[in-house]
Amino acid sequence: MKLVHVAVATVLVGASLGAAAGDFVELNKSFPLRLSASNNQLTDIYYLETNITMMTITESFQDVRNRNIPLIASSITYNARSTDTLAVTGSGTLSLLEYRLNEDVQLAGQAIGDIYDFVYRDSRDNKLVFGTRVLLGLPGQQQNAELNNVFRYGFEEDGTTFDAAAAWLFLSNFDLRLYSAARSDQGLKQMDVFDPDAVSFQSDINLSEGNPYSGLYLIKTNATYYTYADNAIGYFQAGEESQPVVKAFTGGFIPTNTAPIPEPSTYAMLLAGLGMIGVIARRRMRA
Amino acid sequence: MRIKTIALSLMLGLGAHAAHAFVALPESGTLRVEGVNNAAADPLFLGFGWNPLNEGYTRAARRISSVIYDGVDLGTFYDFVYRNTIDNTLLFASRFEMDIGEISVGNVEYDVEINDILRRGYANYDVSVGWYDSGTNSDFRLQSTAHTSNGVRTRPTNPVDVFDDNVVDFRTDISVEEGNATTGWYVLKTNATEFTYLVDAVTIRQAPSIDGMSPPLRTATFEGFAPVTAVPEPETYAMLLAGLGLIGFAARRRTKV
Repeated sequence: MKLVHVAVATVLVGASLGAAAGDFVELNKSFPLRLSASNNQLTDIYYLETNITMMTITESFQDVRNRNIPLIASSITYNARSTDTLAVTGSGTLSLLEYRLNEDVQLAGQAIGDIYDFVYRDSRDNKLVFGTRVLLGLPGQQQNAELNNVFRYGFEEDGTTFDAAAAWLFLSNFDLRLYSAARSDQGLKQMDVFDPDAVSFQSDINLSEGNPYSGLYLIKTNATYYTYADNAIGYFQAGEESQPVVKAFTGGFIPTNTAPIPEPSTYAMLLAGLGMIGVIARRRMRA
Repeated sequence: MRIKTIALSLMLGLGAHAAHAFVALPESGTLRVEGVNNAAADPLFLGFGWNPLNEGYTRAARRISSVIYDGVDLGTFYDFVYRNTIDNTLLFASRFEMDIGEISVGNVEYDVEINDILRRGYANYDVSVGWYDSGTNSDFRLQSTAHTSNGVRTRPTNPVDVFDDNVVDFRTDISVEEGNATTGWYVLKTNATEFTYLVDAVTIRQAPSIDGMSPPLRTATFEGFAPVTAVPEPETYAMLLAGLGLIGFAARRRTKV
């Protein structure tokens, strides 16, 4: 009897060590475009293993069901695992560079939710990672909207196609997983066509179905910089529960290889600095 | 680095271990027990790799039925019974596998979805609940469970569950279109040691849409296993009487001798 217990305990520990699997997955540029995730965290290619103790949460809120929902994580440490062996293949820390909140995003003329847009840098390879998180049906917003897809744009610039590797993680235990990802501008019930500019995340975010919050959906890119664009993020309701079929866009960050142009104030600062050096040099010469 | 990794693994292990237990269904107050999306933190999840055959149970019976509604074969329902090798108590495990995405009624096509699986026959038994993954990529978690016959958008009582000792509601969201074609194994652990066959043991239910019309409420009820308390058969009583008679006869003979 004792032996059996020990054996069971060992199995449990073994299983919990492999409590997840997955890593950033580079999305295909040709067939098959759409790679599916999995309901099973052990076999989900996109799933990054982390938990609340591995994050620094700087902002969260108490939802209508009295659950504590983290909103902004300034750093997230994750483990990547092989889906075959469940062994840890790497780990990294995502450090937040900048974020934007698109409050009360509209669909068919009504405010349906908030979309958070994050830019992180991954310590594992120093690459930029764009994060998207959707919260639907917050107090004062429409309660029956459903988002089947979230899109990120800007992965093609002047004939250069950036890498786009997808992954996701739980910011809260109530977040909905990523269903699939593709380099495509098409959503649920539409035929994927390769689009170098767009990444289509598929999910099923819906308050009345009990899943108002998406996980943090991530795209890692090889672009050097990021910038702001008006229609960087798209969102799509496929009308599964007889809602209207609608797609809309909002502003956000996109990858770029163009170094940001300094603001006029930066130039003024530079001139002031040069002036000071000049003054010091003159004083020294005199001394 | 190595120490850090071990520490993390231990933490994860503890976190996951804490979740590995059947949860007793409340009979008053808040009836519904909610799970969460993150399996590692889901109180209803029995654990990665959990299987009754590794936990001291043997399979006592199984039934596999086609589920038909609106005249269309929707998918397959798996109804398994497991018996504890030590105390003979039973587990009733349910699993549904959906084969089709849409259904046509007249000229209208509807997406087919399963929102609740109701199991009947549990009045007067202790019932606790958990779920495990069968290892497919499409197994959907048990979203919540309660001792009630209320399904999603039951009118007018929703969202307040009304206690029904006889029925257990497994809430889920099975849809081929949504990529959740199968449930995990949803398990009822009971203190019953015998089971029987009920004609209305299982109901699968698609909730009506918000407007109640498109799609409307749809249900399919069919036979399956349920716990039972062993009641002696008439022959057993006859045997008992015969036995008593024999003892009486023997006693009489002895007193005569």
